[in-house]
Amino acid sequence: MKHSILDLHPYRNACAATCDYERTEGSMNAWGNSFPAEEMPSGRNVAVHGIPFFVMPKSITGDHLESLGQTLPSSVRCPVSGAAFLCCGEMGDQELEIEFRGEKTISIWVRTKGWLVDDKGALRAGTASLVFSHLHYPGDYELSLLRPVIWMHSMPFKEPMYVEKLTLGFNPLFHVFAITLFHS
Amino acid sequence: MHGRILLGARWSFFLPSPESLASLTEYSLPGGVLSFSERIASRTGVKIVQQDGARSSSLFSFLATGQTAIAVVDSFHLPYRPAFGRVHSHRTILVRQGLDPTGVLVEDEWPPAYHGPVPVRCLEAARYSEVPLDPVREPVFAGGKIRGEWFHLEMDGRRPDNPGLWLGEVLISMYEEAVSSARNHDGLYGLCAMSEFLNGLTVAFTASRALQIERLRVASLLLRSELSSRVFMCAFLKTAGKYIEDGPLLVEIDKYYAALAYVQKARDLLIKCLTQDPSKCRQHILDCIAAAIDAEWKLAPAVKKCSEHLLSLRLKTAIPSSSA
Repeated sequence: MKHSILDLHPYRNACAATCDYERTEGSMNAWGNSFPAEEMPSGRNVAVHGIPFFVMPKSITGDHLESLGQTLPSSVRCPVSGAAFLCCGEMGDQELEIEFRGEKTISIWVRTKGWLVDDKGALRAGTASLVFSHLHYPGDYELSLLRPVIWMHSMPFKEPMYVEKLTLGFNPLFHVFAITLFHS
Repeated sequence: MHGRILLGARWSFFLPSPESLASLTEYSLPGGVLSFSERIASRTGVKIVQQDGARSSSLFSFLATGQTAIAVVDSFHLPYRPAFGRVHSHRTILVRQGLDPTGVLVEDEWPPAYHGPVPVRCLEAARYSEVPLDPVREPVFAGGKIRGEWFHLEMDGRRPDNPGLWLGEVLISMYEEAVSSARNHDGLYGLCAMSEFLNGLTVAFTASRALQIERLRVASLLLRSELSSRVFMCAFLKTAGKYIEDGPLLVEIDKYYAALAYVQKARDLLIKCLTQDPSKCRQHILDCIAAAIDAEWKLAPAVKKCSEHLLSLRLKTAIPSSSA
């Protein structure tokens, strides 16, 4: 199985991770909480459950996507057999419809869990996700009572298909950090 | 039926008057405790009793009887909360008598959930607190003084002689509550109030940012209380539907329950709009509420039909007995 990482750089529109000196910049929820930037693999490849992803570096527009109906081009020129996502839900579990267009059009629903878990939830999240050690608060402090998680979801297609582009549904509470397509 | 399920015997939507809107909190019940409780109690015998907290000792006298109370608290004073010593925030927690006089046992289901002891001095500080609104750290669940209010449930232990008839009467009463419209000085009741809420929200999005934030905040609190009531209502209707083996009603309840996701999404996006540009979410929020209104009216005929069926059974049984 081969993997192709989608370039999401142009679509960054929200800030998930903050450094210690900028904790008020977090926009993962209305309470200004954020991921700890020192643990986020920003600008690096990371493998989750054997699937490679690229986590975008932070820019002035943000470090990830809130799903607002963006259409993302695919550069894969062979039949795609599935897609994998690094994502999480704001305000609890969230779902998102994603449309893949090529020689035909299919839709899949990705259901992801909320981004904040307690210690037991962090243990359950295990290696099929990115679990962080603590949460940043806008009041310039951090705590580990709730821990942020980015979940990985692998969604195989029923049958391989050429994918020219994919369109995210509209759910601003669904946060996308990376997308990888897999093919033979 | 379990007492908690009976709390679902209410179906309406309450839009408070503009003067009352500002007093909404995390623990508000639709229409206020008195109105909400009276409605449920008249149908089921389950009563939510509010104590004003003027005497702090009343809570501890109640706990000494071995019963459980629901206390309104400020997270700022609770050592197990992330907000401890940092952020003022409304919550309700279950409180029971502690193992010794210096402590109580609490159940707090807000993540991270906590079940365990809390010193009485912390609980008392948490029960009497100003809870000022902090637009950055707590933009939603604050902004109202806590004066030691607490609640408990009472059940009159009624056992209907004819459960089917009782259920029919409760369901028709709920149906009529939903489809009729009533306005008093407190606000507007009935599903039609939901449409008025939608109209008001549409206007709120055009207000100045400061006014907009306050209106969206109270709108989220309003939807929060109505959503909670509806989750209980679904549990009540589902239990009723299973008891009377009404397949079509159960199908409609499942559809209605799924559509509550629209209310939840609207509430959560309203909260998001408090600190972010609302323009990206505005239309989606309005669409969600419109879809939720649609789901309310779609459920109504099924509830009416079920209640009429149950009440007609009484008539059928009444005819032979009267002719005899």
